[in-house]
Amino acid sequence: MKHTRYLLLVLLILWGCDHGLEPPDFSGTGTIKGTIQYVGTWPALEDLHDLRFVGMRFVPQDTSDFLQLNEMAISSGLQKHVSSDSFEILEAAAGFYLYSGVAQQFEDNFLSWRPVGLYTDDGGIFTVAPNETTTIHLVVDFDNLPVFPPSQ
Amino acid sequence: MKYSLLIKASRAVLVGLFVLVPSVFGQSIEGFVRTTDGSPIPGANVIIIGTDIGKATDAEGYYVLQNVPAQVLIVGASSVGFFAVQKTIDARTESRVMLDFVLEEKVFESDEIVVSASRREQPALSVPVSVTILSAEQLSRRNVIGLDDALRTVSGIQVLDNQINIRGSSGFAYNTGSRVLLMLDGMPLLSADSDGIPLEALPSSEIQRMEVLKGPGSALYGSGAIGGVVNVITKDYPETPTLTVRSFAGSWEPVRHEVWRKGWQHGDEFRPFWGVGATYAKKESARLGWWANATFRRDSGYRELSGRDVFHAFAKGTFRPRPAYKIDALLGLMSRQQDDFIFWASARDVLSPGRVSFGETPAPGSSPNGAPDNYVNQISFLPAFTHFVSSRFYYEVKGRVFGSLVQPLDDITGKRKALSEGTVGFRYGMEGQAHWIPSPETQVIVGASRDAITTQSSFFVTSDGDDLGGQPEIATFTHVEHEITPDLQLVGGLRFDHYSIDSATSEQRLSPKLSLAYSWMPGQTIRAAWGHGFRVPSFAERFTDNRDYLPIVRNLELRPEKSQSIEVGIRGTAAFFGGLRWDASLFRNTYQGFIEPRLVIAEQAFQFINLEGASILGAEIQFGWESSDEQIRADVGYTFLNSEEDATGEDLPFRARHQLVASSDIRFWRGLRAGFDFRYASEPQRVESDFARFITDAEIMNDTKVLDLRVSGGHGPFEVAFIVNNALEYYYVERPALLGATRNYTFRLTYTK
Repeated sequence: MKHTRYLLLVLLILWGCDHGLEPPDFSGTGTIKGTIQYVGTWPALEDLHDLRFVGMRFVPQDTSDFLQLNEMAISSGLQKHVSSDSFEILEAAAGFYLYSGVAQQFEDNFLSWRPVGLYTDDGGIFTVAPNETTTIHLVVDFDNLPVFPPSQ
Repeated sequence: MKYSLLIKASRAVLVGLFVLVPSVFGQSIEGFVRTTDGSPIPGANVIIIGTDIGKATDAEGYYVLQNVPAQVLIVGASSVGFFAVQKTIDARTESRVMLDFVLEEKVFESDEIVVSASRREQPALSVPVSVTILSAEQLSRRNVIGLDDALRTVSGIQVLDNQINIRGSSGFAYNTGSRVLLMLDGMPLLSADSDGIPLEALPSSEIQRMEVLKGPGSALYGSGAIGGVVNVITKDYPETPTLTVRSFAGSWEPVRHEVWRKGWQHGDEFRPFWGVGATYAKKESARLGWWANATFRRDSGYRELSGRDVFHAFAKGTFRPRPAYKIDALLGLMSRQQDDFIFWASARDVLSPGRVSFGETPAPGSSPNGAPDNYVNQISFLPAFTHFVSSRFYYEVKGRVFGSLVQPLDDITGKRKALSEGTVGFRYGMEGQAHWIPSPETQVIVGASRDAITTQSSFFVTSDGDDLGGQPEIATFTHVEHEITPDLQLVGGLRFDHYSIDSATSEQRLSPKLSLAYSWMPGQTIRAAWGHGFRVPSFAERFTDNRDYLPIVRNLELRPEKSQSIEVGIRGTAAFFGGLRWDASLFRNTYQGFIEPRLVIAEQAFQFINLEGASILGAEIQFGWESSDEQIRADVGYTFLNSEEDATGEDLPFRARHQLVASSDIRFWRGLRAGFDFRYASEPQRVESDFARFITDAEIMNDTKVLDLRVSGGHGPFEVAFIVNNALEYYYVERPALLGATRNYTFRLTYTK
């Protein structure tokens, strides 16, 4: 009898607990397609360690916010010293993108990035819907770089 | 035949380690140990205090101690359930001394012994600090493979990945610096590179007991013991030669969520693990004993790129050239090849390692950032010499060498890279300790130690600008215990440490302690303790300068962190349908200059920095109970922690406010036994966010609720066990972006002859 009570207690504990962590809901992904027009004087190649389109689902406050990779959609490397280019990001997280543009890595350093041209249509905000494609257009003027961090 | 040759060869090697000298035959002491009504007490221990000379009484209560030194001796007799008795005799005048003991019976008392609290053996009931003991039986029941498995069942301890956290002393610091000192047979065992705890470099099957000292231990053990001490005591030698073969096999069960399984091609499969090990132990004579152990285990892992192969071999020998001399040596080798799963891809893909990159396509066959591979070899050698000069004075000289060689594996070919691309580190040193008993009421321990680190790592850039560093350390310590009255014990201690940091700078620390234990009635002790602790930054914290996985820069200005603690507690035993024991404590630890990793914008990288002060206020209560027929045993412990950073008033990150551990075992008929371990830790009050800025979903933490079940039985030399770990199939985050161990099943077979 003593042993039965003991086993019942164990079974009660077994049944009384949940299973803890679960996969969070997934809002889906869409595609971002874009075209870029470059004007002005390109930086020297040694100052162009990398060049990418970056869509952010937040407005950055300083360069450390570039670490929030979870909240970004990032293109593969763009061509340099060209007059125009295009990009496509598959499986970009669905949602609102509040601050997006072309980013230049000017030194071989994790945080040495700066925006060189921003998406400005519709107040700079675009939306990615699940399983749909969002198309945008940007102009990068190397002679007139955007101010960073942006004013609120 | 081969087996026999192997045994003989091993014996020859061990014997060859020692110099054989003629024995000296001394006097003999014999007599009876009886109760107050004259009944014999079989199995009572009779020992000569300050030596290892001792015997158990036979069925008639009779004992005989032979080859004892011809001098004035203190002889003690003890037995479970009786008050111990000591007598002083003069063995110089007679070759055969008759000595009887009468022991008074107790209602109930624990016979646990600890050594970590004061560098000498003493009853656990009377030590003036918080200590938890894990016995060999407790370890064996749980199929402990790594010692982290065992430590998770101790009240007030959380193991975050490979980092031990005693009463909130540590959060999660990427395995770069430990605030808990790991010791093997009383010798520090810290890796030379990161001061991390090499939990796998220990002979898990040859452990006699583990002692967990909670609270700063720096006054006795110096840097590293700021949060506590884990002392692993290895087994002695059986009276008859013993061969033990342990084998186990099991499997990780696929996780229940399909989303997680889909993220990894093996997510739907049962993932196997197995291991086999053998130990041979023999007491060759009263003067020589040894054991040797070799174990191999393979784990395919419940996550992608988290498999590992581990081989380790250990040997221990003890030789007594004369009754008053003792030589011990422990040699260990460990080889491990592993993938190291650092962080997940996301909370929707917890079985796959993540990647920190701006969308680069990885080379075929390469590992993501979240799972670097490496091949690790570790060696430990711990020799010790003890001389029992008299029953009131003995001294010990100990040496220690702990080496670690880490070779990264090529992502594509899997071949080992050159050591110059990894880490080579040695920590070595010596320690002398004298133990003096000037009077029966007073014990004095004084000692000194000299240690050094030599580390070369491609990850480090030292203050000289190279990748080779050293960190010589010198320390002296003293520890005094005095019985003011038979019921009141006062303990004081002071330790001085001097560290040279890579020849660039040096640090000195003075660590005092004071504690009091009062036995207000038989079996009940009240204690109070105060002490200082400190920790010198590890090599990894000070010198790591690397951008392979994360941008980390060195910090040559890093200072030692300091702590001060105060604790009051009560410990007791009582008869309650068997034996009941309890321990309750209140403690407050304050810290200055806590070392934590932070993102430093000016450096555009992570860096280890000294934070402002912090404090942890807590309470802990533990109960243990064993039925009078010894058929049922149960333990439960609860710990409450309230931490606070001075500057912000916020909780310290990654500390659980509530922790609960419970375990029980019950014997059925014919040796069949079943039991469980349950542990609960509440979700941390605060999750430090820098890590979560670039590791997806790293801010997600939850409660921990893990239940392990086991059933075992034996017949003849065989014992079988079936163990289900995480039986509730509860998913929890062990530390940021790392799913804790999922449900798994183990079948174990042990053969002992």
